[in-house]
Amino acid sequence: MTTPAIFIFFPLILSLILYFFEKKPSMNRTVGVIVSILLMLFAYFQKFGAVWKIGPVSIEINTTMNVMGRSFILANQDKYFLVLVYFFAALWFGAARAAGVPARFIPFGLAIISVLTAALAVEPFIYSAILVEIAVLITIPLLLKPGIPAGKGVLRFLVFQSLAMPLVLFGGWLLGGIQASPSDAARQLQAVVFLAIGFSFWLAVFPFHSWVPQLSADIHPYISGFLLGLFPLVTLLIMLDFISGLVWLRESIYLQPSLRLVGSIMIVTTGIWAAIEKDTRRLLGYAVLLESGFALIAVSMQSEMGVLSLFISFIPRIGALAVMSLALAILTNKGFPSNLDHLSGVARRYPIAAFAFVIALLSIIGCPLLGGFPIRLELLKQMQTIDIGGTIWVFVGMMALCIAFFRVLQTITQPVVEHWSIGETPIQTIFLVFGVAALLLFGLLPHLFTGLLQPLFENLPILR
Amino acid sequence: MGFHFPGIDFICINWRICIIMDHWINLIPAVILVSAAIVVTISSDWRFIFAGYTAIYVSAFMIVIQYWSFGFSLVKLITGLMSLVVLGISVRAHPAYIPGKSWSQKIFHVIALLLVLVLLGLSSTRISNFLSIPTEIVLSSLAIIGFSLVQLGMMQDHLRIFLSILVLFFGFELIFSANESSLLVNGLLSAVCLLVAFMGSVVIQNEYENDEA
Repeated sequence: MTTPAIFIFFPLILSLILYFFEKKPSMNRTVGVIVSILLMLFAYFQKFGAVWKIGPVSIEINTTMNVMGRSFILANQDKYFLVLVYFFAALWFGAARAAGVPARFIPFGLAIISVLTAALAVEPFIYSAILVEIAVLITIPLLLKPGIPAGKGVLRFLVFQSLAMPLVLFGGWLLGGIQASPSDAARQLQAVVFLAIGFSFWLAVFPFHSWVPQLSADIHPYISGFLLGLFPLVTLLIMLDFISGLVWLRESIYLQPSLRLVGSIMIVTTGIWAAIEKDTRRLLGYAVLLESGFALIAVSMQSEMGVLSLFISFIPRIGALAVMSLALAILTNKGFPSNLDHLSGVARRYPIAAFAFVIALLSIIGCPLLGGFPIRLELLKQMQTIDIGGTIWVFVGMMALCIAFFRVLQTITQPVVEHWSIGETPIQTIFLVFGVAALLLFGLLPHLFTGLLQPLFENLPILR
Repeated sequence: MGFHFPGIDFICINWRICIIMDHWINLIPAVILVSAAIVVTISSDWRFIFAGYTAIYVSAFMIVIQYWSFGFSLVKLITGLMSLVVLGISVRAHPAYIPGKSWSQKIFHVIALLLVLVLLGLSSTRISNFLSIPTEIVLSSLAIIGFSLVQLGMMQDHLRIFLSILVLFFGFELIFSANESSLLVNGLLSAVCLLVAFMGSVVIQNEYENDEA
């Protein structure tokens, strides 16, 4: 048995089977959650490339699977990603009922996760571009509401992600040619330019970021949280693998300043746009962009601590996005428009959803005692030793996002109705409270989580 | 070859493209391709739009068949035409789907398209030398990529956007497949094109789902 068969082909086949049981949503959800948890536990406890013992039966778990001359490789260094992505799936599938999303979310979600895992596992690298594009196309049915035309955000998402594929493929092909003559600096530069623009489209890096808030405003917030949580994470890891694999690129003197500059610009512009934003769903999009900005800064550090911070940051990032999108989904399902003008006093009717939303926003800003804080603190501490000006700008971006937080807080707590009531269902309350508690716990005891995940941080990408 | 500002140089480069071409007869499919792009840009009738896209695929096929194997060229053509058929079936059920355009819009779009095509045409010889691909293929590929980018940038209706993504990939494939002969990559690219067409069909049908129910 091979790891790609377990983590790519098995979920893919399962998603096809579940698709035909769309009319049995409970079964769909239960199977989706159980399979995701089992895969997560398997990735956490089983050593890849070793023997798996079940009683008297021993099964060898190989890390490579060859398909038509190409290899899919999921080795021990991918365990963290697998644990994270299937934890992510279990979380999203588990709360799908509370969020009120259609049953087809589970099969499509599983299919997207398995194709994106394949994109990360495939060798040679250029096939990743095609697999990411396939994953993007699979998302389309999830983004549509029957009888309603697809919004501009959906089309922009498709266009921007599709533009990335030719650029990455072409850059990858140019790079393949360079292997024969590594001293050809002109070709190296051309390959890097093509790949950099391709990755910028994938990661919604400034100035190719406009589709993110538009998409989050156009589609169900729970689905936008799922997609905007998953896609940037996978493409970021593909980019990291790519940088790590090329010595001349990671030793280039231009890599660190350019990534830091782009990351800082993303944080500042996102913060400023969010400060004047009135749509809470678009705020979710800006939160994703801010996280991507910080991720680029973590990569730009080109240090072991930077990579570790990046990998650990995925946990509070996913937690905050999950809480924000679930809270928004609850309010959307109750018929509240996403504009702040219509959310006056909503905290008195849906207090848990409303406060969970603002706490998740605070975590993304990097407020002390919440999940995002230890990561932000570490990154800013590292950054100020290299570029104090850039650090101040990043701080300005974070403060600008604080304005958005205060605007939301001021609006939702207005005393429009006299009495407080709890409009959320018990299951919604459980998920939201669990999410907020996890964010608090990560902020208070970050070493507890990093200690648990320590065995998974094996052979992290080398950036220096 | 240079890209100098004085007008006379522009004319020289254009003539050089004609001279560098392996067969002057290839100008005919190139002209058909540009004319089809203009027809697609100005037309609001789905029949003309699909006829235009078919002409683009066929004229590009006429060029690449001279350099690639017949089977390989035919695969590209059939994939493209199948994608058009998938989208065409969806639009045929809802002919009023494509919004009309005013005359000023049409003129603006055509001028923008021609400007992009001229710019790309001027750089085709240099790209052809850099990639060691015949000028005819580079010229047709750049014309298709330029046309699709103009469409993606200016059009808003779903059908045109999906068709533009399809021809963008096709234009890219003309350059990419000339160098990368891996059957798996090319097969996957064809699968992606068919998936784009299928998803375009899903998006178009989705809008009318309640009406038909």
